[in-house]
Amino acid sequence: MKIVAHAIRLVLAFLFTWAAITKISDPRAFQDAIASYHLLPWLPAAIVTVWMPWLELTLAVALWIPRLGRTAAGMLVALCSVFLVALLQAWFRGIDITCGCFGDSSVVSGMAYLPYVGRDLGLVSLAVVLWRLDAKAAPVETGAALDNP
Amino acid sequence: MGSLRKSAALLAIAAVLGGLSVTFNPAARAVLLDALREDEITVADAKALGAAALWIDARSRADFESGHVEGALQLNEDSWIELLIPVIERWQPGMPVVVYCDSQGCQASRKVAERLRAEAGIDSAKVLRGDWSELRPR
Repeated sequence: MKIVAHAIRLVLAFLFTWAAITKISDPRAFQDAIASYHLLPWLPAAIVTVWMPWLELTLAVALWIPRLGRTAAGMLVALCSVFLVALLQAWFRGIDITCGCFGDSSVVSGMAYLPYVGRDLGLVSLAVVLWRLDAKAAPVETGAALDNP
Repeated sequence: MGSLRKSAALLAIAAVLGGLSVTFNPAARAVLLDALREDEITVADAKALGAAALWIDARSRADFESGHVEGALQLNEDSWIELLIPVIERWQPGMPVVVYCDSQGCQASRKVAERLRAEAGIDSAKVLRGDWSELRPR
């Protein structure tokens, strides 16, 4: 199980580092991508534009820090779920977007949303599995006995 | 340290790094300052150009037919070759070109302007910053 956890950690860390670097290297393109979702007003969207890539990078690094790894995995579950909701709302509203996920600037519309939704579901699943595996491997801390009688 | 505290710490670290990037990276700073890009033109400047500019509507045919800037030509990526010919016929060297779509959030105008510059050699193609409906007479 430890090998599986490390493999998942490696995949997630690589993907989120890659995603972060593409966004940090071209923040205006990421800003355009966020604007295309028609989800946030200008100022919150601008703050997300500069903050999100660094959050992805921080979480990718934190996955490898023993005391922070499980928290980072949990936060990746939340983050990918937010991405998924953003994608689905745009799809259901019939909006053409640029994903902004990994520096890809191609326009997504109609059934072209499917692979993006599938990829996000895959990332959420991987992060959930890692979160569960890390819980099993974590040392018993104060209060843990109450959760695992 | 509880999970909430760890989460807050990770969020704060990311915020500090984001703040540093705004301080030291001009491109990140431009995001927060909402600076006009090289390939953009404001609604006021575009209005001032008026009929001297070639107006390109990058929206769908249905949207174009429901209303557009007077004299605008339609050009989008769905029918690029077919729609590009009238644009090239109308454009003359030195003529400013303004490409617009629904709003600042739509990406079609940027894509069309990029392709006009790269594939048709129309270097003066600019993206209208803002909603084209602001150009309608009130």
